[in-house]
Amino acid sequence: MRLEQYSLTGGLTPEQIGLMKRRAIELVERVGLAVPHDGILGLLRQHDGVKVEGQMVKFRPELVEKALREARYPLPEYYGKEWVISAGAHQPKMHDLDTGALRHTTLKDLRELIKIGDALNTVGSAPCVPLDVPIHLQEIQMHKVAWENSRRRANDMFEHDPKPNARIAEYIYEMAQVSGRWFSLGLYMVSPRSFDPPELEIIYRFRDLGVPMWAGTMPISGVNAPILEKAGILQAMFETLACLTMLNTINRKGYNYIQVIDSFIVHPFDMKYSTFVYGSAEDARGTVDKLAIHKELGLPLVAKSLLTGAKQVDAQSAHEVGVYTMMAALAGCRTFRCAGLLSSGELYSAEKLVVDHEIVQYIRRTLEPEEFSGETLLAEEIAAIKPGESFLEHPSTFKFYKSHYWDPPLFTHSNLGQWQEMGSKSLYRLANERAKKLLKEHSYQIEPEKKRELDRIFAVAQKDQELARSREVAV
Amino acid sequence: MKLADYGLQGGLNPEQIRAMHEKAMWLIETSGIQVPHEGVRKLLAGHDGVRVDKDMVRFQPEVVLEALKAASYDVPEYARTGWVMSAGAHQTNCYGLDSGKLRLPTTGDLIDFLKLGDALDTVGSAPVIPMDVPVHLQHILMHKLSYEHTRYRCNDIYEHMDKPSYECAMYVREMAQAAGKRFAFGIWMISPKSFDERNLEVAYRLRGLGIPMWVATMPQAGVTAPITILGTVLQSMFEIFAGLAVLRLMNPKGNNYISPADAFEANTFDMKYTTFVYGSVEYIQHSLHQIALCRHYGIPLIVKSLLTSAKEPDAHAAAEMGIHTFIAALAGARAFRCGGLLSTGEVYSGEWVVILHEMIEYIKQVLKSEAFSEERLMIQDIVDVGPGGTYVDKRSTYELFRKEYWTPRLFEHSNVGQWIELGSKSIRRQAQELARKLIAGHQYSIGAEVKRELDRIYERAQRDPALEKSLKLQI
Repeated sequence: MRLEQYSLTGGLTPEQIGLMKRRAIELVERVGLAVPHDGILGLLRQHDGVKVEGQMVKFRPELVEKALREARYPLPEYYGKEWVISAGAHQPKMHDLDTGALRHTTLKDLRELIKIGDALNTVGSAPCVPLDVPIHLQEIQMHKVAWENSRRRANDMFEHDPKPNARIAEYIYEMAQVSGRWFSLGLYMVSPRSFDPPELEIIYRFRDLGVPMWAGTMPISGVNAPILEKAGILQAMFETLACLTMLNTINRKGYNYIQVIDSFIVHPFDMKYSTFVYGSAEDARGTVDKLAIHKELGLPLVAKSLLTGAKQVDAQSAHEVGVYTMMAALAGCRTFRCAGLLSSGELYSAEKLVVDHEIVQYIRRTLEPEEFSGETLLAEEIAAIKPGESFLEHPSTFKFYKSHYWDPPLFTHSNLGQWQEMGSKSLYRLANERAKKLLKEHSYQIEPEKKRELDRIFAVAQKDQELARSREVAV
Repeated sequence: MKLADYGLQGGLNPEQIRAMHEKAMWLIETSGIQVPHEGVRKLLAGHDGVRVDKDMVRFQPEVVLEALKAASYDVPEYARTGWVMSAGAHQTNCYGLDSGKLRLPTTGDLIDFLKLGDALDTVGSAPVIPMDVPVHLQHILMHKLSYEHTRYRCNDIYEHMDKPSYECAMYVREMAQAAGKRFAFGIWMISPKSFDERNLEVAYRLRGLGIPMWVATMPQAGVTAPITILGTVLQSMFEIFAGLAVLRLMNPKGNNYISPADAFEANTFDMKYTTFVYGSVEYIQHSLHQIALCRHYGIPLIVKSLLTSAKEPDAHAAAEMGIHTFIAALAGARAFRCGGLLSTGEVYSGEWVVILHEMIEYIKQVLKSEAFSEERLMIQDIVDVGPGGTYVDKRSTYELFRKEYWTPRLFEHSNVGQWIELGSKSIRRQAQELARKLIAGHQYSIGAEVKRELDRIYERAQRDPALEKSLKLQI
């Protein structure tokens, strides 16, 4: 018999979530959202249950429910079988692997960080932006390098790599097709209740290609959403459901879904520093609410629990990541986002990625249920032992000392003297050494014929003047 | 309406606890414990339900159940209503607050760490041993300085200060009486199934004074106890129940109880490094069993969750402590032990105490109660603020942004640019600065009259050859 698995109790109840959902759907119908794109407005006007007044669009509740019913979440094969770490959100700065200095990221960094991430089985978006590459080629490179050097990166619904305009999206789409990788388009709303017109343009142009599209939003507490967390979540629900309904109305050849990584959260904001505050106590609570809503709506569970406000790989970063991830894990989540990120996503650190990986393994082991039986209670052995004797030579000790105990690669159990004898290495240095070792030993590469195809498409993109101009305009 | 508070489900259930209880009683009745003290054995031999066979003593279950029933726990008022951090277990190394270097602690360090702990409302035993003081005076001075500089230290059921000889115990008792502080005596069992003879001798000589006495044990998995956590917990149950029965019969004038600080203790042991491993995955599993058992037997909860095997106040330390304390808090614990300790208790760090205090505040915020209502969903605000609008100037934002969001003292929410402008201070440096500030600003000192009385007793101890001899014998 195993002990009962530990799990979290408390938080939002199904009734409370039901109430929030009803209020969100009422807002979709009564208040609506602005759609600043004539083409899309024209498409929406043709549908029953859609009310268009100027740029404002309102949907009948039946359409919202239909969109929820028709949403599809094609999960990667590994989801549900293992604990998953997503490790990147295209950061522009990083701690240099050799010097530790803070600097802008390059194409070489992108390649190296993807390899380290792949060695740790991570998923998600590209870890950094190659700032030494012309701006119109950066996102294309991020996808290309991810696909060339990793198995899972930028390859499922846990990624959210940007496609800043339709031209760039077309190149990435072509690359995805030749390399057999995942391609989707995301539509982030601009809270409160609107969109960025260039993003709508991409959606409009791809609507007949059968591409999966997802709906996301980023309400910020006290800025573009109400100050109270549940109210912010309500706004996120309202906006997300409206956005999903719109996508479901116009993108009929592809399936549509709610972006799982950041849905139904309100982004915490610090009024003193005017900063996002990921990793805070309020952020952790908000994520547990998000997970409860996901369960009610049947969405996959993902938590942005590996993100922190800390600037270094230190006690703050590990505490925030540890507590937040444990809470999410107890709520049933097994996919965790933003490994390697520091300062609420401003920086990337390979050392933090390695430490985050260790923390997730620590939590995974902690929550493995123990066996409760005569074999683990060992009462007969206790009865047989005499004062002054030892269990060291007992068969059960030999049998279980490895299987019952985790031997952590980083959080080693040496004593002070042993640690000093081994060079008094800081955790940061140990993590740095591990990252370099993983990089050196990484071997995965995409098949050569696919690589050649990707190179060919990229060479075309490099010479594409229209592509170069498209990004200049956007800047 | 309120959201249900967060809690933890799973782990040992009542039926499994009952099974362990029965096994423990069976071991006490059939296997018994060694009592290596003739005087104590004679005291026990005259009681019903006790069987003495050479130096082994066995008890009928009724004797143990009576001892469990009679035990009472004088939980201080502050522990009934608030969160408690115990921050010391008389360490013999420390990180200097000025240099950050590892060294032996002095009387000056002891005073500084006591003041720092008091400024943060910590409780428990003295943080360090003053290694610049003769051995026979160290424990007396640790009590004296704790009484002089703190309100809570060495003054409740959470302390476990040694009194290594009868003479030492009597000096400490005299000081406690003069200062109006709590005095108790503890006996540690020696696993498997025995006691320290000298420890028993002190208890034996104190038995007529009506002194509260507690019992604890420290079985080590795979060494002095079975290799499994559950087996080691079972041995711990058996030993402390038997030890409590010994105390109950030997010390009838005093209250006898199980030390909450180490109730059902099961130490994990690393076979590779041959070290104790506090803070490990398996130790957390033990803590959760401990909580379930303490709750079952009505023993106050205090969890050794602030201890880590990390050598520095770093990400390793914070991950272990944060995860351990958080899950223990979810399980209902509000008192946490071993603040400031690193390397499984080999080292004390003032800055670590400061960081831990912040971590506990963070966990309190994660677990705080929250109201849920339609009003808090702020639907009208969502309706009122349209596309392009902001909530920054809303009255609700102004009124609630401080109340609803925690402003941390160390885990700052600045961005990288702000952090660099503020001096790029590491969390450890900030904690050192805060520690020095708290020590400099510490106000509490015991009344002058009491201080004079403590000085008088201490001077007498300094000149007492019997005291010196009582401890020399043990070295």
